[in-house]
Amino acid sequence: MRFLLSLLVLLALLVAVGLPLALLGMPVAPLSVVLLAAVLFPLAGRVRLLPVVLEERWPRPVALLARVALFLAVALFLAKVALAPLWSWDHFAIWGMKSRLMVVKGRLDLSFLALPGFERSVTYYPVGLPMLWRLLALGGLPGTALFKTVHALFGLALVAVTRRGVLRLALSPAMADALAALLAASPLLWDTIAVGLADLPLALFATAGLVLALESNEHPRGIWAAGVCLGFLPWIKQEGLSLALLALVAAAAMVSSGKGRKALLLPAGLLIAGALAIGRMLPKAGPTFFTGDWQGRALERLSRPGEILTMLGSDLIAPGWLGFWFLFAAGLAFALWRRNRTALLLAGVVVLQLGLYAAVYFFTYLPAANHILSSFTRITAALVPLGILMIAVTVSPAETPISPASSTQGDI
Amino acid sequence: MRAPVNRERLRAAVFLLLLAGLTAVLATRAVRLVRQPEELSSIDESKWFRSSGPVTLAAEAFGSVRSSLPPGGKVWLTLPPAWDPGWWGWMARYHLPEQRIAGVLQQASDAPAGTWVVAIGPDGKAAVQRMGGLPR
Repeated sequence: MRFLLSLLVLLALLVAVGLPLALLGMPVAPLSVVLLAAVLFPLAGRVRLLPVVLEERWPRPVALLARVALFLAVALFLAKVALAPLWSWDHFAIWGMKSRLMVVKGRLDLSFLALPGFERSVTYYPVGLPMLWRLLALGGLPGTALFKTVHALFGLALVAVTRRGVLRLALSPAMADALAALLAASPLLWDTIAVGLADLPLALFATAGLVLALESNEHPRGIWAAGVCLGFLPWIKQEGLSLALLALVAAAAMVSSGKGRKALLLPAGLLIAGALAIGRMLPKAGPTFFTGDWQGRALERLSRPGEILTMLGSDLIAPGWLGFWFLFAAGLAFALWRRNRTALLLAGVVVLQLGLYAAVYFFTYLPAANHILSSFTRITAALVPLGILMIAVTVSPAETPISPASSTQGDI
Repeated sequence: MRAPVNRERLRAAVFLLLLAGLTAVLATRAVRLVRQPEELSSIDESKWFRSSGPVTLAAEAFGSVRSSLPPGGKVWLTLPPAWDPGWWGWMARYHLPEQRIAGVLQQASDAPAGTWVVAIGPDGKAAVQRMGGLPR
């Protein structure tokens, strides 16, 4: 697990350092990519984790069934990714297309984004993920095999990191297996619309950041790695900025010392600033959600909010979620009742980010119903692993009601 | 003293029930995946899958002519009547990243001299022509 988290930190650093260097003229070629990775690995390799002391409380048949469900869910995810073709329009027109066009004769060249016709590629979206694919292809042209392999590996990594987080919080292998299986069966991994898009990587680095922050209670020197993962979110997706800020607030509140908070926020701040600086260099062609009279649209839609809210609610209770949002709501209610600080911080990240998504549908230039149908399930799915961590806190054996004596144990 | 024991058993029973439900869903998915591997559209996300277009056809068509086109070359497309020029134009940009896709034409003869035309046939097969030169 330590090696996996080190690799994720390395990937984040590789893009955050490699993309500016490539803009300054560094070749995007096998030798330069390998050299850069070799230079950064000693830093990324400093991720530290302590062993978890397990307290299995569930009967053996439960633990066995949870393990079977996990293996089955992961096997189905891999089989479906292998069988399905790359087919998402956003991959061909935005994410994958940028990755395939951004290197010309071994040099990073984003000038194509300013060409007529590329407005529909949402030219101002972050280019960190297209760059990451390109770096993983050692500068070569990424194709179907690479996009699908990276998706499968990121999916496996997300299941493993989430399972580790649940293990740390709930101390139960059966619970960790069950919740990891629920994640692997959720739309985030099961729906192949996500293959070649940014939602799975966003979920992976957000979850890795928060798991590293949770681990840092045991190993405070490791918190900087959480800052790197969370600071990398705006490099991946536009909504990565709000998710990074929310997750950083939650992570900072989990850290007990001021020194730890500095170690968390410094790398995160540097990475976020880098993402914003590169974002300013990208052409702003094409419409944004605010295009036109967005205030008029918002007022008009807010006059009858039921239409949008009903659509969003109907999505969240759809069978494809396998009851996840009911579990989340139950966990949130329990966390509120017990005033569990860590659970409420994690739930706050999910609920506020969900609220932000809902708010966009009230002023977007697209017809709200079409916009919801084309995006809500996919972007909401990226919050599932964070919700699973919250659920894990509520079933943790350490979960105790508020009391002055337990205030240092993670409760308000 | 019996209440806590019963509560533990109840928790275990509920957990087991939820896990059994999840495993049943996964088993159903596995059966569908094995029985209809070519019909992924029947699995949960049909609305997207059906609207995605003939992505495999486009990949094969453009993949077959990529090596016949020079890097940096200006390329026009021609399509059978009623085929979506917007969709195929984007597919061309994606699958021919080293070329500059100039647009979609009604017929190859409309392309300027010295440029390249990729003609997609009704069977989805692609052929390359250099305008002012011989077909390749």
